[in-house]
Amino acid sequence: MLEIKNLSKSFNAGTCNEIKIFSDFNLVIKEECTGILGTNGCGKSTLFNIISGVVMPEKGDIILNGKCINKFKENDRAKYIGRVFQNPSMGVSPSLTILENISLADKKCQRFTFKNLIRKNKVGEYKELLKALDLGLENKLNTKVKFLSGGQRQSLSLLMAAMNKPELLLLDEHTAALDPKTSRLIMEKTQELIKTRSITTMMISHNVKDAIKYSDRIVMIDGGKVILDVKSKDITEKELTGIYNSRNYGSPIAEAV
Amino acid sequence: MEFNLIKKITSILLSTVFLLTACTGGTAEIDGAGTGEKNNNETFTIGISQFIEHPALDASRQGFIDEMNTQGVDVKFLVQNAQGDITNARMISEKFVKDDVDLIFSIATLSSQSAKQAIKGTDIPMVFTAVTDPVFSQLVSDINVTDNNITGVVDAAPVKENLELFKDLKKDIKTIGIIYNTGESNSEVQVNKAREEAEKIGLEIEPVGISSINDIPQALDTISKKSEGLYIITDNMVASSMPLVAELAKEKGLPTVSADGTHVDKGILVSKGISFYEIGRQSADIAKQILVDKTNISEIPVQHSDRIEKKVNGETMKALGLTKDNDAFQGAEFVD
Amino acid sequence: MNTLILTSIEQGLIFAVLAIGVMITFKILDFADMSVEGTFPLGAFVFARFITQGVDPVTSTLAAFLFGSLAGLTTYILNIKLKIKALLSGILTMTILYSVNLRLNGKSNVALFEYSSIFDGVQVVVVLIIIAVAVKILMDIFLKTEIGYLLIATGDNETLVKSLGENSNKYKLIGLMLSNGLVALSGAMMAQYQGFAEITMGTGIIVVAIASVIVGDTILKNANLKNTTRAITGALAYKFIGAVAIDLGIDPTDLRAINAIIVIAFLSYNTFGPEMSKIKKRNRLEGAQC
Repeated sequence: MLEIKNLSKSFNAGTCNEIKIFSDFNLVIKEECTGILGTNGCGKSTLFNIISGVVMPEKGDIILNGKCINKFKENDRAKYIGRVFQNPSMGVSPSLTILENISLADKKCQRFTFKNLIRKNKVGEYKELLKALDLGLENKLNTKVKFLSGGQRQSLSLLMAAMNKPELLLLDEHTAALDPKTSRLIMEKTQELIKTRSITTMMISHNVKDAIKYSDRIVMIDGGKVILDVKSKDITEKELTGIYNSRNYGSPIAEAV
Repeated sequence: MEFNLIKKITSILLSTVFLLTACTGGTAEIDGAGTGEKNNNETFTIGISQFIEHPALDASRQGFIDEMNTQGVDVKFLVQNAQGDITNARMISEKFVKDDVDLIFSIATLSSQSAKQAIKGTDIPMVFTAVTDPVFSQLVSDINVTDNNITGVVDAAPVKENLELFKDLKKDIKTIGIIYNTGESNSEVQVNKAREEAEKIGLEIEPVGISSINDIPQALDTISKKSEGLYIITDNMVASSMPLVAELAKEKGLPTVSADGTHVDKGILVSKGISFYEIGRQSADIAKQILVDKTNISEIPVQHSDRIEKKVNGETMKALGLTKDNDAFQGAEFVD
Repeated sequence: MNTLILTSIEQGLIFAVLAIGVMITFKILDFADMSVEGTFPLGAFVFARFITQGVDPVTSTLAAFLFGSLAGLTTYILNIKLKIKALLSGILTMTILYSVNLRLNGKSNVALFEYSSIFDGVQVVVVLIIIAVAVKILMDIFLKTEIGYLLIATGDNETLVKSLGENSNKYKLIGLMLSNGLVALSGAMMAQYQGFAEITMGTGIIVVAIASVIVGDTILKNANLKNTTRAITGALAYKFIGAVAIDLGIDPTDLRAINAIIVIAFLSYNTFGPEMSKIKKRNRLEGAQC
């Protein structure tokens, strides 16, 4: 469970360009997949940055499963938090092979030593994990990641972030840069992954259909406040689109495929 | 398709240029055309290893070649220049060893030190010049002893005599400045020598180090504040900016003395010292003794220059308010 | 060609160690570390200091490696702790080292002919091969360890390193220290090889190192060669090219330009040469089938 209490964050504080993103913001995320929706600039990515420690808030507490992680630095929070970005290259090391990348992810938050990274006895295990992605990656263990397509890279990023069952998984529009078909595949795999491992997940998306289909709960943020908080089975696509559009002042929203 | 053709043509062009230049590369070999009487029918091959393009070093090379020709020795010269790269200097020496030259003539310290390593284990003799302190550079173990096939002519200036000139140029002069490149070992040697000699005649040296030519204006400023004269030592960096140094010194009313006549051509007031061309000639004479006269190199210790020249720059002289009858200018050649 | 080939191999092996060092920062960490120009002579002058104080050559050479890694630490402090841009940090370290190098022995040129060296009593090229191969093997092993991989990942994607729970700065430090240590080692080797330590020996050394890395990358570029192998072959090829230029007796004024032209011709052959036209032919034929 993630509790965000009394969060305040503004950019360019004290200048005439001051933007108050959050002011006494509160949110509780339970053990399920929560879709985070909102207009551009409402603070969704900033929220993720604050949770993962990239950005520090002025005020507020972040409590993850009873631990107050306010003072933890980004790499210390990584022990508990996995994150997949919109850019498929941000979650992997492009000049290394799939096998090397997975081996790194397998050692996440453990002590790194002078021992050999690649462990032969683990290769079988990795192959199984990759097989489940249905992209044929298990046959490309020695291919350098930079030669993979965006979709392949992103599914690898997903696997690497979720592999060791983090306490919280942050998906930051992770299919937005992919074509519709691949996007759907990744979303299916995402759901499989988080359901089989029971990972608490927050998923930012602009895709209304995906949000309803793949998350258990929908939270919409606008002006630094939660303006909608429903179970996804209790709302229809049309209603959600309507609320979205009324807040969006005409910005295009992603058309569901 | 077209692009492919362009790439092919470019590759061919480049290769052609390369090959052409390689063929004309024979200009690096100079056949000595003896103008004097031919001593005998023996032809010698001498490898000349110069460290960098530089008027003084070029003069030494020319002096060497000219003297060999004057003496009528039949020589094939292999001339190479390391372009300031120490690893090149070594390769050049190794090439001379491979070509089994009869003698190596090395110009400047770094070429000489590199050549020393290359001739180890061979019996190729080496004559150096444009080196200030061959003992400091460990080319020889003792200035009077030649025991490893290496000898030469040093470019050490008559320091004491040069410093004494200042006394004639400016009454009651107390402090003399020196500008030098902290990165040149020869220069440090000369600064220390200057200090030693200055003390003997009751003068003080105020050295100012530079590490790039951009430091020159500031250095001259400092010198003009602390000293009343500027002594020019043999320093490659200073030599490369001589017109600037001379101009700045003139502006600040500092009399300048050097050991190198080519500096006077560039604006320095007066010079008393060696000529790089002359030490090149002197080196050739040593080479001739070794090759033609078959003198054992161990009988030829390192030599100092045997010719001292004096030169005065008339324009600078007038700018500093001095006249021709100043004692310092006795017996000098006047240039403008 | 004998002594000349040997000389180019010897100098190439010394520069191979340099190239492996520079490869770590420039290629792997993507950090343009200019301090190399000061670290190379630092190795030479540290060796000179120790050997003239009566220490044995092996220890003196290892001391050079140690002091070199301290130079890397300096660049790290400037870049990470004082938040100075990478390029400038390296330049500042290089500038500081100029004075340090002069002060180490009080002279800008230290002749070492009278002192012992690691080449005493053994064939120079044999010692150099042993050192270069040892450095390569150790580096290859290191790059296969967990820490080695994190070094590579740091150069690739710092975000990933942080998401693994690691501090990417730690690996930048390791990379800088290792790299500069190797560069200084190379400098100490060169000093013993040429017989003297000289303040100007670092000038243009970055060009040599990078050229070696680039030439090494281009040789058989489609083959799966390790980075370290490429660094070594690149350095050897670069020096060999220089030896060819000198052996041809090229007019001294053209030497530098010819060096560059030979490198260009060499690289062009590799890019547009037989291998490439084979691949192009195949592509053309396959295309013709539609």
